[in-house]
Amino acid sequence: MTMLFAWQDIVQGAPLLFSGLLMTVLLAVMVLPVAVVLGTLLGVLRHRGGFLFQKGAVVYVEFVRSVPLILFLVFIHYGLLPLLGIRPHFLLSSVLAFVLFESAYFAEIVRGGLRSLHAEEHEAAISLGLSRMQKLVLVDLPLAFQRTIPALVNQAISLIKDTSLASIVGVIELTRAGEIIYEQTYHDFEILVVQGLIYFVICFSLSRLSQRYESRLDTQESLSLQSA
Amino acid sequence: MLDILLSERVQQAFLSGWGMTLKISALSSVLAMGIGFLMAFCRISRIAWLSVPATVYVEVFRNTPLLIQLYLYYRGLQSIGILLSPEACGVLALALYTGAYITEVFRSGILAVPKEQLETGVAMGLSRFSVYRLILVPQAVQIILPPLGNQLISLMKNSSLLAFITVSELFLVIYKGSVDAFRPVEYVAIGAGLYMITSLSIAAAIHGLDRWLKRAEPPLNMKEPVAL
Repeated sequence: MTMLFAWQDIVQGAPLLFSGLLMTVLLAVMVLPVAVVLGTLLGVLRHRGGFLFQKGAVVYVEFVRSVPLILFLVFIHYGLLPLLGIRPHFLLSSVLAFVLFESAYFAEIVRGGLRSLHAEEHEAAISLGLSRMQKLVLVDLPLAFQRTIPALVNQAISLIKDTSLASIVGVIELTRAGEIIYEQTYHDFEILVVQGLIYFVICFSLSRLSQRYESRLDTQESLSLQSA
Repeated sequence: MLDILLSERVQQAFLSGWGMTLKISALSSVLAMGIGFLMAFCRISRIAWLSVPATVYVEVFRNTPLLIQLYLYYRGLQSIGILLSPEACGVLALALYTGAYITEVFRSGILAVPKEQLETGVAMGLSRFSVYRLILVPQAVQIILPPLGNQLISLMKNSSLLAFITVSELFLVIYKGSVDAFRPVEYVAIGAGLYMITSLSIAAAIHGLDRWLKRAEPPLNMKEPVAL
């Protein structure tokens, strides 16, 4: 065993690592919009649906949030899809599992944003003569999203980190790609450090972006308070 | 459908897996809270050699996937000659990963107590320790408890990743039953039930503690003024 950093393995494994990274990004990009839309729908329902919809959304969100993500992956890949007569494909299973799981978390964020709206904003929308639906889509949701962007970005970071679990149904994303390399080269430590760095660069930049946005939002809010 | 539960072997497997999940989660929770407590004070400290390492710790551990950290301790350390048992690696990884989140929970709880109150305490001639014990802790604890509970539930759910490094906890039992015994629906249903019971119990315990604290220690401004 040498303590020399295994540069050669990393250079040779770079194409595989890169294709793994692409798969990680692809998964996140495919899941994110669907999960946000589904989460918004659930959040709105939980915030102000009819009794039945509200209770349904509560049960769904609370159930999902008390069970681990990999349970969804395994259940959908080995249980649900075969039961429905669909031949399980690793991409279909993982996208489905991530969408179902993350949407519950997005729902809670959207609901929190909707709850934070001020009375004046409601009154302004009503005095403009907007219908309930118009008020929701044109006023409430944009304001809620604007205020919860930091939380939404945090959830997106969680999603990127969570994609590392997709290897359990056979997706070769960044984590699995590295595993393939060190199973052949036995330089686990070095490859894992490189993988960690790649994840870190992506997630840390995202969190920095949202922090910058957050501080801008704070100054805006305090400015608008001063002028009021 | 749940006839597998009649088999004593299956009952045994579920019970020992669940027991392992509980044991690992409890141990890691205690460690994570200890780490979070120390690191939170380091992070607020004005001394750079305390606050900078604490900030680096929080950012690095929050912005890389738990699975990579887990592999790093289990395989990475092994490949450079350090041997730890899978259980020890799991506890270490869970404690350090969740500790980073709990650091932020503690930090924001401490910072939420207005600085003027602490200054007032000092001006009244209280010792630093008394200021912390009488003014800071009672208020910070109430702010900290709900998000701390969420982190402990996350930790318990994340302990399912220990299956990736061969720890026979609850998820490994479910996975084996789903993939090797071809009974995904049954095993996932029972497993999800056990995870839900655990999550809900943690939530209930935190809620109970919260209410008990609020009864024992009413908000400071409602208390009789301290005789000077």
